[in-house]
Amino acid sequence: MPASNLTSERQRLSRFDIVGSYAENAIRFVRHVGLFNSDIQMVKANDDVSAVHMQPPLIDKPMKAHVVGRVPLTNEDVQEIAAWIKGTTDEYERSKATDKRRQYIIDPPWQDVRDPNTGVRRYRRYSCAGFVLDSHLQVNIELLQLDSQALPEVDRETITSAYFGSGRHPRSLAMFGLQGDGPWRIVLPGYVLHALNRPSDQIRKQPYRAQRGNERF
Amino acid sequence: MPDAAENISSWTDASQEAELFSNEPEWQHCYGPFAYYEYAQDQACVRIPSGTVSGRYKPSLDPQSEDVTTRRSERIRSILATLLEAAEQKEICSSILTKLKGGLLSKHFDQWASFADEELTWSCEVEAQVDSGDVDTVGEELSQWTSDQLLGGILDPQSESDMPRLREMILLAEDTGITREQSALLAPWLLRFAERNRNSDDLQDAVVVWSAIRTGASMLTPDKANQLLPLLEPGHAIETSLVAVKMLGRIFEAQPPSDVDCYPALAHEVRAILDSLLNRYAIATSQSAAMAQLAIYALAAMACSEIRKVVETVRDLGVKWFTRRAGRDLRDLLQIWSNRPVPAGHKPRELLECALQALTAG
Repeated sequence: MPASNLTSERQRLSRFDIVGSYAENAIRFVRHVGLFNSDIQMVKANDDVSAVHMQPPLIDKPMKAHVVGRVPLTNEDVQEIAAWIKGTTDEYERSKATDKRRQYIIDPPWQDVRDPNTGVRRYRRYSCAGFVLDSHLQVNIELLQLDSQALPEVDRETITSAYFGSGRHPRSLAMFGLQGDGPWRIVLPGYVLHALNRPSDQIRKQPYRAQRGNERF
Repeated sequence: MPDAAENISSWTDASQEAELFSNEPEWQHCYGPFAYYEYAQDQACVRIPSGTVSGRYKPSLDPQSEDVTTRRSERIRSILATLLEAAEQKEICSSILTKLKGGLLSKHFDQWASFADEELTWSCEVEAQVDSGDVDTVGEELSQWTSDQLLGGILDPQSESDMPRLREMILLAEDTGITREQSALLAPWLLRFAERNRNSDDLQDAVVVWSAIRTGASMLTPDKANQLLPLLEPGHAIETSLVAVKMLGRIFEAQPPSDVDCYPALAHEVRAILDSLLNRYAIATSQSAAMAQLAIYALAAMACSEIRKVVETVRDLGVKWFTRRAGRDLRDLLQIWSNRPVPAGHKPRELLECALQALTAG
């Protein structure tokens, strides 16, 4: 299977493999995912690895690795994703100088921000999982079924405890696309790892349908 | 309370934290995600969302004071105030530290619980995920501005005399709903700003120049798209041609042309970009490949009849992934055009379909 938990034994990672970090306060809850962005490297659990990820902002900066997954990608896939990243990163550089939360969205996992009069795209907001999923869509790999009815319900407590500590933050949740009290059918980072935890040919053939509990890996 | 700055004698960053403690420190809760640990009578560290700052401070009260609660309260307040001051001096101040400063310095520790605002706490927690290498952040005052105020601020003849503030306003404009009338004034100003400032050697200007191009270009109708011509020119300290060519594609994808070859000056420049990049050596680097892809998309979206020759060149290069990408982009464009309120004219659609056939032929 092309997805696994990292241990003290080193594993080989290639460019644009998917790296995940666990939440500190929830066992095996995958809080964050990104794209490994370095030449082949041997990596063990808790290593800081070079990655492109929507933190926010979208950055090329090390992140903690606890879980990894891969499709795997061909050399051509890698070249195509690299060119796509180059063509979009100017849109995220700005968020280092402004409110980073404006670049971030949970529901939907990505969304274009457009000029209200012309409809011309300015930039795309992402969740961390959304960025990883979109990067693979660039090479025709649909990792997850994204229609809302195919996603399991996630309650407010799961989101706030894993991502933001305890508490209720209705205004901020709304800012990230989560209206009302929930539950919501949204994409969580752990789903991406489960999507990769299948035989390679299946990953390319069929998007994964996330199951309840897949937030942990 | 004494001035916080007077309390600073030394500050170390998080990387040196391990040298301070022989054992895992017992962090004490103080406010929201902030915690503190006093490892000596006059030395403490404060854990903040983006790391830990530690250092020495002068206790502001007599340590023998019998009023333990007051002493603790004052001490923690002193530590935090010093941290904030140090953070500002070291320019590691994030927006949340700035937000907290006013509240912390004006309230007693015992009142902090009531001071806690849930959105503020939330912001702190989100900040825990974000890049700690912050530069300027949008001020609280600016983020409350209406589009009229923002427009007035940017177009003010004196606006460039305060570049940090102007940078903030331009970045904010990208997230602000601007009316059609306001856009007619703002778009040319933003594009001229980008042109004037693209030779800047100030790193902070790059993000603002790019944002100005995206925002300004997104407001343009196709008949005004020529305003992007100067920004296609290469060879400046801040590279603007990639963003400009990308926005050209987006202008014409959202507002499809009714006929072919309506934008000869733009097409000529985009074709020049492609002439220089459509070879196997250039597209081996991701930057050039990205530029070439965006230029192909722009040329197709403005319905330049040269797109047929361009896709033949792409096909003949024999770089499978690049050809695949071009094909996907052109199919996506056709789909986007079909869904627009005013769809593309018959000839542009026909041209695009021919280009797609040429790409896959042979």
